[in-house]
Amino acid sequence: MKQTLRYTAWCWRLCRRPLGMWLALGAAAQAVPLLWAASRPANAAYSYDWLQNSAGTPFVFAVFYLGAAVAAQWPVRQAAGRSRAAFTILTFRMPRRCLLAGHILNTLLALFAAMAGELALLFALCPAALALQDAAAAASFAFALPAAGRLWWAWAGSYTVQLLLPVTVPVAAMWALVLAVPAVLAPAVALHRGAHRLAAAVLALAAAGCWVGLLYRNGEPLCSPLTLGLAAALAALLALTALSALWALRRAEIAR
Amino acid sequence: MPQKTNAEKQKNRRPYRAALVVLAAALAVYAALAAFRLAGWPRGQFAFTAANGSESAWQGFTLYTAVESGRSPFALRLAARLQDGVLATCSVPPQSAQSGYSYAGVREFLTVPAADHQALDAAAAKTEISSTSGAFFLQRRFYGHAYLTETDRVQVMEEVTFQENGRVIGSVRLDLGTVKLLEPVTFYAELYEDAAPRRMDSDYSLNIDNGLPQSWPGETEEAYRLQFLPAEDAALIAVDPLPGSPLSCGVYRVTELLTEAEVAALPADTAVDGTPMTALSTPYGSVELICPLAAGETVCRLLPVEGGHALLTRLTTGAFRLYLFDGGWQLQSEQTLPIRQDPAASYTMPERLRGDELVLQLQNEQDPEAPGDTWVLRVSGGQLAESICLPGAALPAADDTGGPWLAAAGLNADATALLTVQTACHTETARLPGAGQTLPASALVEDGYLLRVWQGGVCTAAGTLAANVQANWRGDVWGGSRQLNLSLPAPGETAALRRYFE
Repeated sequence: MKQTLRYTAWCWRLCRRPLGMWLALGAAAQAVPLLWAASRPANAAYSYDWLQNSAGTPFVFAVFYLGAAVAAQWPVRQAAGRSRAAFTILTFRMPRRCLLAGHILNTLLALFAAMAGELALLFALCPAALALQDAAAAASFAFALPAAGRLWWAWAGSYTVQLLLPVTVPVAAMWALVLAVPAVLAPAVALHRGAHRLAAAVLALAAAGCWVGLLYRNGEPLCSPLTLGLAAALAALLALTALSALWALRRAEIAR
Repeated sequence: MPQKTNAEKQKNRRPYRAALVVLAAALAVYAALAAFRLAGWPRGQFAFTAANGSESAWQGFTLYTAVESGRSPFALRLAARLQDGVLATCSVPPQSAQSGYSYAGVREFLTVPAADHQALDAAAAKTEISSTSGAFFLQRRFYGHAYLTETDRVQVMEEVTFQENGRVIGSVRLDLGTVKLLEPVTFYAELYEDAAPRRMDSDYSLNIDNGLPQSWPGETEEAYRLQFLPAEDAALIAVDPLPGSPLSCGVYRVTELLTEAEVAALPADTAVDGTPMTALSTPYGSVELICPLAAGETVCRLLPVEGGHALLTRLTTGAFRLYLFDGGWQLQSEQTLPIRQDPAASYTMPERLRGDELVLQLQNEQDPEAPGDTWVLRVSGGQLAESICLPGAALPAADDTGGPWLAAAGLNADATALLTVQTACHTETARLPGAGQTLPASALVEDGYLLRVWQGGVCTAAGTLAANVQANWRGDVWGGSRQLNLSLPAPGETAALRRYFE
C-alpha cells in the first residue's frame, strides 16, 4: 500500500507541470469566451448558465477534462526511452497491480483537481461576468439588480456546477462514474506499446460508449434492462482493459 | 548516473508532499464550495411588510410561496411560509414530477355502425395499395387493398390512452353514439397480404380531431364531449355522449384498461372482404359511472380535498354545482351553489391556501377589466361547510396587480376572515439597441404578492410579500426566458414542504 502511494506521488511529481499547463490553458479557453459573451449587450438579459452554454464552456471543460486524463499519463511516456525516469520505473520492485494502481490513483488525483479547478474557476468568473453584464445593460435598462443572492442563484444554478457538486444520490453516482471511468481507461491504454495500444484504445472506446450511454440515462429508473445492461457492459469492459494493462506491463518486463 | 545532492536526497524522503498539497487544496475547494451551495442561499429572498392594519388580522392564515430556477432535477428552490403574520424562509428540494393518472392521448374517429357494416362492406370499391413497415434497412414494402365506402350514418368512437406516473398503462375505447349527417362521407378500410403485420389492417374508419368538422353538419345540432379528469388514484373521464351511446352523461371511473397486446387479441366479430377482424365500432375496456351529470353540464375542475375529492361543474344556465366524493369515489353530497353568473361570462379558479377549500373567481360582467366576485368554499366531512363571497367591487382595480384575476385566496382557520393574494407588478421601461437606433420597450414585471385580509367585505389589513425576482426583469422587458419562477404551491405540495420549516 505504502509503495503504491509513493509511486503515485512520484508519478504526480512527473506529470504536474504538463498537467498544470494544460489546465491553465483550459481555464483561459473558458474564461475568455465567457467574459466576452457576458460583455455583449445582446446577452444582458440572460442567466449565467445560459452565458456558459453560449460561450461553449461546458464543452471546452469536457475536452480539457478528458485531456487531463491523458496528460496524467506523462510519467508513462517518460518510461519509454533512456531518461532517468525510465530507469527509476524499470528498477521499481513492485507487483504489476501496484504499478497500475499507482497510475490510476495519479489520474484520479489529476481529474479531481480538474473538477475542483473548474468549480473554483466558475465561482471566480461569476462576479466578473455579472459585473460585465450590468455594465452592458446599463445603457439599456434603467433599473439595477440588487446584489443579494445573485452570486448564489447564478453560480449554484449552473448546470455544470450541479453536475460537479452533487447533492442528490443519482447525481453523485453520475459524478463518481465521470471521475472513475477515465481514471481507469487512460492508464490502461497508455501502458500498452505500439499496435497493442491501438487495440486497447478500441476497447477503451467501447467502454467509453457504455459510459456515455449510462450518463445520458441519468433520469431513467435504475432497474430498466437497458441501464443494467450498460452498467454490466461497462464493468466488464473496465475489468478487461485493466487486465490488458497488467498484461502489457508483464510484456514490458519480459522485453527488458 | 549523476550523484544525488543532499538537497535532492531530502526531497526524496518526502515524495508525497506535492501530491498531498494538491489533494488537500482540491478537497478544501470542494468543501468550501459545497458549504456555499448548501448554506449560502440568500436569507433575504422573501420579505413581508404589513402596510396597515393590526398584527392580529394575519392570525390563522398560512401562505406558502416558492422561487425556483434551473432545469429539474437540478433546480434550486427556496420556499417561504407566512404563518400568523410571521415569515420564514428555507431551501427546499425542487418540485417533484406529478404522480398519479394522466392522459397520454386520444384518438377520435368515425366508424360505420355495426348494423350497416355488412351491407357497406359488400358495396365497397376496391383499389390496390402498398405501404412500408419498419425503419431504415429493415423496411419492407407490403401490398394490399383499400376499400372505400360512403355512408351518412356514422358512429363516433374515442380511444383514450392513460398513463400512470409517466408510464402508459393501457387504453379504453368508448362508443359515443351515432349521428346522421346531411351528406355522406367516405370511409376507408385496409387489408394487406398475409405476410404483413396484423396491425396494418384496419376496419372502416375516418380519423377526426376535436369533434365533427364544421363542414359535415348533422341533421340535428348534436355535440359530444369527452374530458379527462386527472387524479392521483383513479383514471376519470367526463362524458357527454350523443344519442345511441351505451353511456349516459356523467363522470366515469375507468375500471379496466387494455394493453396493446390485449387489443390485438380481441376476438373478431365482423369481416372486411371476407377477412375476419375486430370491428372498430366495438368498444373495449370498462368504465363505471360514479356521478351522473345533466346534459351540457361541463366540468370546471376536479380537486383533491381532505377526505376525498371535489368536483365543480357548470350548467348551461351559468349556475355552478359542487359534488363531493369520499376516498372510494362514492358520491357523498351534491348541491347547486348560490352563485349566479351569465353563462357567457368566464371564471377562474385561483390557487387555494388550504386542502379543504375551493376558490372560484367570476368575471366582472359590467367591466371585464375590474375584478369580479370571489367565492371561497370550505368542505368538511363530505359536506359544504362554508361559502363566503367577497364582492368584486371591494377589490381595488389597480394597475399594480397585473389584471383582475387573483393568484390565490383562502379563509383563516376559523373562517372569520378571507385573505386575497394578487401578483404585485409594476411597469419597467428600457431602451433596447436595435437596427441602428434604440427602441423603447416596456413590460409588466413581477415583484411578489399583494396580500389583503377582509372581514365582512372590509379590508382590515394589507401587506406585501416581496420575492427578490429582479433577475427576471431584464428578460421580461427584452423577451427572454425567465430565470426565477415565482409560484404558489398547491395544498398537496405544501404538505410536503411543511417539514422543511420545522
